[in-house]
Amino acid sequence: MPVLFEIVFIALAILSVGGALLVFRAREMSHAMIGFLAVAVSGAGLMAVLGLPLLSLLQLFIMVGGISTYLFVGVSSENLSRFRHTSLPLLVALAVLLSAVPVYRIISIGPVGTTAPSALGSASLSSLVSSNIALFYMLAVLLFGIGLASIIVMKEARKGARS
Amino acid sequence: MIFGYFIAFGFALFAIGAVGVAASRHFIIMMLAVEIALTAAIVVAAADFVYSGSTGNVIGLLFTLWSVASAEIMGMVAIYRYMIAHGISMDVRQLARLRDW
Repeated sequence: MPVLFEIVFIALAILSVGGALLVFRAREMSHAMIGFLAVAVSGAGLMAVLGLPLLSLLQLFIMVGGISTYLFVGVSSENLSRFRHTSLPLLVALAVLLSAVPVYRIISIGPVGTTAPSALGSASLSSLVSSNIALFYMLAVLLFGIGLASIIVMKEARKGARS
Repeated sequence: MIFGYFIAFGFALFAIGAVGVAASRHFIIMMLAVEIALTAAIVVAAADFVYSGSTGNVIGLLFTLWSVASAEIMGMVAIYRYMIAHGISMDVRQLARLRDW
């Protein structure tokens, strides 16, 4: 469907350029970060449109999950380290619990698909992403969204306290 | 024709990033502009791999670009935190000490 392809491409291109312009026009640093996030996500979408699902996922993992998260935490919350912000026992307990559930499921089911794609461009998303890996990815996206939302809420609360 | 779309988009996004580095005065915005340019390079590299019918592997090149972007971010955030902690201005024009020569 070439028309659908062009529509999706144009939508992703507009998202990307709009996000890039938001980076330079935003007054708040967190809004500039969201603009960069839009550029990275649209880049991943364009790679999916090209038929490269693995590279699209890698783009999401690295640029969105890695770089954007690091930018948000390191730049948008410069006062974060001046108080005890993380309960270490709670962190360890939740991490063990969160990793034990999907790992137990994987161990009890057995090895998932053994067919390896011969070339990156010929792999389909369903063959690369099994239900277990999709669970990990879904959890990662959910945690990223929670982290992002908490930073935005914290910024808004700080702004409200100042005014 | 479709390949031309990707090339045009990639160069447009790269131009936005490159001009943003030159036009911006804020330290972090300049860094984000470089990241935008790197994202454009990644998209163009992926499109070229698909439309050129290459039998090789593009993932090595893309991992190089991702590594450069990640390393740049790590270094710049560390410098940013140092600048914030020492009250140094984010305006790069105030950091241009070469003008005093």
